Amino acid sequence: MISRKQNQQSTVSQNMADKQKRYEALVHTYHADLYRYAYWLVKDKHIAEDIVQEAFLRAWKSLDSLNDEKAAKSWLITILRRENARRFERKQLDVVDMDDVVLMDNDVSQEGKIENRELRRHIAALNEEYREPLILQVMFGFSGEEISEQLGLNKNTVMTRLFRARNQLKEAIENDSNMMGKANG
Amino acid sequence: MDDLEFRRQVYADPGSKDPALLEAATQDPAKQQFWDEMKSMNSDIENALDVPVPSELAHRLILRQSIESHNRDRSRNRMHIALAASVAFVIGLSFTLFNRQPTIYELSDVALRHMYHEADYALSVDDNVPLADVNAKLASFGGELKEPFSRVYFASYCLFDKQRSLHLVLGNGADKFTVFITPKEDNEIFTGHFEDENYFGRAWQTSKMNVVVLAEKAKPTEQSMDEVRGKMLFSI
Repeated sequence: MISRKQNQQSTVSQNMADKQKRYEALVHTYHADLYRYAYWLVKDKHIAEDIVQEAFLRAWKSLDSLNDEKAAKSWLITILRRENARRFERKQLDVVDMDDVVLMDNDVSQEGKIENRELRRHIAALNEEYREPLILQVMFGFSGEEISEQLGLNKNTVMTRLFRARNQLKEAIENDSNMMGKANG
Repeated sequence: MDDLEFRRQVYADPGSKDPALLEAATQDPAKQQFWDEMKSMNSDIENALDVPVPSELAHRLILRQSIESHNRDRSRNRMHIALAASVAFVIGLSFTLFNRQPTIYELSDVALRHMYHEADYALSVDDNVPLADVNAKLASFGGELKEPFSRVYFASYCLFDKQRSLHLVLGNGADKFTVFITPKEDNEIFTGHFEDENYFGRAWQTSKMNVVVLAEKAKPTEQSMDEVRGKMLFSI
């Protein structure tokens, strides 16, 4: 009786240790991409970190439901998006005025610094329904099918949105260089 | 593939491996050039998306989770403690009831036994306890040392026949003696003067407390022992 109980206890603590290990592996592998994803969803460093914190806490609580480690990325993104949606349920946030958005550009190497800053501004200015599939495709390497699954849209809609996202970015970049040209001329 | 369709597909996915797209690009250098431009823009986008991540984020994520699971464990442990406490309570209660049959004992015997048991330690230390500390300990017995003795070598709570009591070792000039303060019990026999081969003792009672003073027979300290009665006052 006693030995059986001890066995159970050691199994439980072994499970806890395994769970802890899995969790830490997930954190190390995905925290950076998830943070960036959150940042591009909300365009605020602090809110992004809050969302990532909440998302990982929820991931820990339901880690037992993740059976396939290969599905971890989509699983975490789903949790994160839900966490972001909850934020809107909690309080209706003011619409962010693009002029107020502080974009992070202090980290970028000297080369291409201005372009990066401009491009970030343009990406941030994209409508969220264009921006989100673009991030999933570029940052996470998701295919059209995977994005449509993640966002609950059909694939054609996703492809159209991706087309519009890049189309708008290209126009914005061309406008920039036209303006630079005029200023120089 | 017409130009518009080609552009639509390349805009939507510059990394596409679609054979029809590849075919169209090889046949038309303008298309190939457009595709290369889009690939280049895509890697710019990739760089732009790569915003800096707070350096301690991974650490904070793991820390927060540890605190969270610790808190959950703790509330689970609290349940166990509550359960253990009620079991202990029942055991304690039955012990108390069992022990209700009063065992009569001599206060002087207990004092002497305690003296022998603790003497090696209590008589050898010199903590030089400040008066305020002594009085803080005395307070829970309703006592107060109104005037100091020359030295307080030792002041500690102890168990005196299962009763929480106070054990003091006081010095008065060259004299050194032990004082026990212990709550009065119904089943004890009180004696004001007692002795054995090594020690002699004086004891008196307040409304709720016994005060026992013990000293070595070899060094008569009666006067100092009597002083305790004048200096240590009890409100209960």
